[in-house]
Amino acid sequence: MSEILRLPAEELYKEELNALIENETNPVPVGWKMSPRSVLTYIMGGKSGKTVITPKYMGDRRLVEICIATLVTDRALLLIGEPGTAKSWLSEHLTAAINGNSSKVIQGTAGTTEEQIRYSWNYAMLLAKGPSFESLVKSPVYSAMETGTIARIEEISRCASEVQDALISILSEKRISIPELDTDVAAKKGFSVIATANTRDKGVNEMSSALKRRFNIVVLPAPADIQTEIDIVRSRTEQLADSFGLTASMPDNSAFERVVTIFRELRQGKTLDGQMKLKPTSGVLSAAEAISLMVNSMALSGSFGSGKVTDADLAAALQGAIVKDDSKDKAAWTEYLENVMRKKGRDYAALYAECKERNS
Amino acid sequence: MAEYFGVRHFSPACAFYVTEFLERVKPDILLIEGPSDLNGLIPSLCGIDANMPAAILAYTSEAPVKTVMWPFAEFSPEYRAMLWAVKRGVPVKFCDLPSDCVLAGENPEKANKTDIYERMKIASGLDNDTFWEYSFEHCENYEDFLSAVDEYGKSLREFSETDGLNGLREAYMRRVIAENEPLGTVAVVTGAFHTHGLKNVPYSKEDKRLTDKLAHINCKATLMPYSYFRLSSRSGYGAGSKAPAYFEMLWKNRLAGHLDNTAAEYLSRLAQYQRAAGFSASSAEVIEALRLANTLCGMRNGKMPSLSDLRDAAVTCLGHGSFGEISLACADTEIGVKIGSLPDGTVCTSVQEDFSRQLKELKLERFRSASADEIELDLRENLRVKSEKSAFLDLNRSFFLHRLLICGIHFGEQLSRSQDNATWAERWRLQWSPEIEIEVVEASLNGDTVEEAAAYALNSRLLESEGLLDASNSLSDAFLCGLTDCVKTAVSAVQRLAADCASPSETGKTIGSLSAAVRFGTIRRINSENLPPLMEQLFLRFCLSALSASVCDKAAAEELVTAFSVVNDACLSHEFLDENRFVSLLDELADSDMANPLVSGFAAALLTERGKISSEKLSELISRRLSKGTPPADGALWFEGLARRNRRSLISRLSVWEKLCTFISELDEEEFKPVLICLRRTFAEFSPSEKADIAENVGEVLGLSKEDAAEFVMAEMSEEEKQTLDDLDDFDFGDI
Repeated sequence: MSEILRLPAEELYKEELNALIENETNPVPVGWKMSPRSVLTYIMGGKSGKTVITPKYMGDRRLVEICIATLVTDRALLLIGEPGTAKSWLSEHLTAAINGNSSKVIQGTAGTTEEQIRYSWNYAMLLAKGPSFESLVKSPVYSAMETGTIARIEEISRCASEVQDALISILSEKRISIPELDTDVAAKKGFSVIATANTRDKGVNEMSSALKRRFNIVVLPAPADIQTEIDIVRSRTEQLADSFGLTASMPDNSAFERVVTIFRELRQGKTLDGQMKLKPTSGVLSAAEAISLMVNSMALSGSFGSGKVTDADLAAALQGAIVKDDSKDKAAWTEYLENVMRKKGRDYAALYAECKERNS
Repeated sequence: MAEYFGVRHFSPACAFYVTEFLERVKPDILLIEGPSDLNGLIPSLCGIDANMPAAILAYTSEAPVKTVMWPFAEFSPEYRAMLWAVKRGVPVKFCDLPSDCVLAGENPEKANKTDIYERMKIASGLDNDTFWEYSFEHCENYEDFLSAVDEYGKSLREFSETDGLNGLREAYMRRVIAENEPLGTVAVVTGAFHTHGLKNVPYSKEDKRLTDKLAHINCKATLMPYSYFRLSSRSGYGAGSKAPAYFEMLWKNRLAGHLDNTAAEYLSRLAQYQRAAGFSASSAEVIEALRLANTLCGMRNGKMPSLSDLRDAAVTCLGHGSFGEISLACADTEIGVKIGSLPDGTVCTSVQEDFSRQLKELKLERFRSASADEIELDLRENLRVKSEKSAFLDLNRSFFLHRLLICGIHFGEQLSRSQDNATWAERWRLQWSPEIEIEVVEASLNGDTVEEAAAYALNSRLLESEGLLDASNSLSDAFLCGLTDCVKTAVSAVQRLAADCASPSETGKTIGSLSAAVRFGTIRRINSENLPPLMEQLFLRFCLSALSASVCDKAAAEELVTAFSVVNDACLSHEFLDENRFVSLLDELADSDMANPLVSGFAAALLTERGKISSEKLSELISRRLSKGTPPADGALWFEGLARRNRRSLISRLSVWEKLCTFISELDEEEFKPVLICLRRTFAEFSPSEKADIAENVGEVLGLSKEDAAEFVMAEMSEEEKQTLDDLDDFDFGDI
């Protein structure tokens, strides 16, 4: 097991990437490591020569096609979606496949400054030598332009609007001017930007339409069908439980199925059969949230409980995930329990009783 | 000799090349896939004053009405072929099973080809429509096209097993072809699927045996105007087109010789629609969308972007990632609103037929006159007659008339009755006019019988309804029309809207109308079993949200009081509603100082009425509400709520009046004015005898004799009092 908590995608899937590059038959765009089709295979899974390529993104193939096509046409790509819909995951793997390097990242925060997008100065050098290329500190976007690769900007809507605006000229002119040195740097072919943004978070800045126009926008949906989502949640839970060394036994299939069903129904605001409309809750009930719920329950029962995830554990975790601080959430949860879960039959009876007790 | 041309219905490319095919072959006779007994309709269909889309409609002349349709658009290969033949004077005939045999079979429209397409999708990696577009629609060479279509038809056949109906149809077509072959060169235009079954299988005795004993049924046929919308919504039948307006665009561009313009035109039209609708859509975005569409199509080895490429690119660039933003523009550009027209006298649709038949059956024919006549309906079962039909004659009449109204056919007008509550009686005024004939023809765009058209109209109204009230009105209409399926749709619409937006007062009113439907559903003989679960849900939602909603202003409080009263009645008449939940809600409300005093008082009144509150508790509440700590106006408002129900039990409680007297006597001048208004309003609703009883109570409290007190209460106002009251007009009452 590696000492590193989390390896970048290009390290983790080095063999797959190499196999794809070796077996390339289609034309490769300037600045890319492989053809658009191979990128698609890398993301969606398949085969390259003898190497099996594991699927990285389980979802709509067409959306990934649109993402890749966007990057081929030198346009910037904006991935929008609710939390936990694999936006950053997809952007990391896209850059890993296209450039073999997913490390040119700017993490958008309320404290991100314009310099972090463009360039800043090494002040010791600046004092010693004055403005020169040596004293210039390049931002990830700057070096991506120089090398003709793709820069990633995470959570772009968390940045202040003036910082977002700094991107406008970069994306339309494809160059950064450095007035201090009386010069500018033009982007090489292959340069592009992948940004991600959240739709449901609070405390974000609205993106200006000027900036939005410079992106092709792809909205990533929650997993399309329940089986996919159950698979995603189970496989990620297994991976995480393994890497954290959790001692509790994996919950059985029905636990995953029930949690994912409840999450999906509340998220979509209707029952799976589409017969009944439900009040949505304020919490974000994404696949990622379901994964962390399962991992947490496992950690709890492993450390303090019987080592098996019980209905009571699930009920407590569900209560915490669904009913945030809002009294509306509680009413919606009560309604869900009474109108939907109570009528789901034997599989849910014990869970229903536990949930009801906690919610009263 | 016979020459074959396989087509895909509604394919512009086929429509284009079929003409070239005919020019090359120069047939003496042209045979087309279509009902062979309806050749007589071809001349009117190809006439100058016929505008596509139009359809051939065949329908059984007796109930239950079954229909079958052959729709044509401007870019239908069959239509182009017919036009060519009519222009050249070449005889043209249909060669498929006669319409009466199709109708005599089972489920004539059930041409279920979806699984073939599913399997083909797996084989080619593309969905069928995109595959078709890449390989055929964008093909610009006659020979290539012909061989590609041939290949397509072959693989279609490989992927599917021919079923009985298709076998019979092909046997019949082979027979017609064989009959015509001696007359000269025959050109055969059929679906590509059938071409192989016709070309490579010789006509045999077995075919003759099969087609000699065809089943027949009485039916009629007509041409009817069709719409692009209906063409697109029927695409599931295998004989429609998902995007007729888009294909028309392809057709026109192909005719003009610049097929490659279609992508730009599609995207520009979307942008234009967006701008007209007030959204921004810049040319730069259109250009980016076009570039993206080209790249997407390149990734799948297409020559030109297909509809799916274009639409996905438009969503990404013009819709900023969400289809919702451009869905209307897409509907307009892809489906369109075109409606065909046909010369007068050629149209006699099944709805017209159905309308006349029902008039006869329901003995309403005498009302088909220009003079307005009234008719009274008694919906209850007529026990004096034997047959079920006549026992429920009036009920069926009512269903029929209500359905006409929903269809937009203004034959009958419902009149209000003096006895409004009698759910079993209705009064109508019926009058016929030529405009109504037109309305009946228009209804045929929605369905093939009056019932179908009404159900369609009601369903689309349900889809559009935005408020709970709209939906529950439609639900009542579905009951009135006797449309059981619509009732189901309406129930789910009500459920959906209730979850979305509804305030407790709206929810409460809906519970009331559902309760009425449950109670009176039997008279209309409609199964209302799915209403109680819905009522339970709404009831639960009402109980959960009413408490927080009761912190509100006066106007909202009035609404809420009405809702409470309705829910209370519903709760009393339906056992399946959880009474305990309701009572505990009332308990909380009556005790809550946060809630609007009117609602709170009303809750106390309902509790008193149900006998669910002890006298001690009630008097505690009254003391608190009418005590010094509460703003006097609130106290009076609370009392107003309390006095809304069950006045007798209030009057009989002397302690109530003692407290009220103390309350009023302790008020100073300024406090008294707002209280006066509320109390006047409260007592205005009491009857004289109730007022007399109150006077007696008050007299007792104040130590006056009964007569003296009554004199005070009943006396006319003096001038001075009137003056004081008039002065109050200038008083600012705030929110009471």
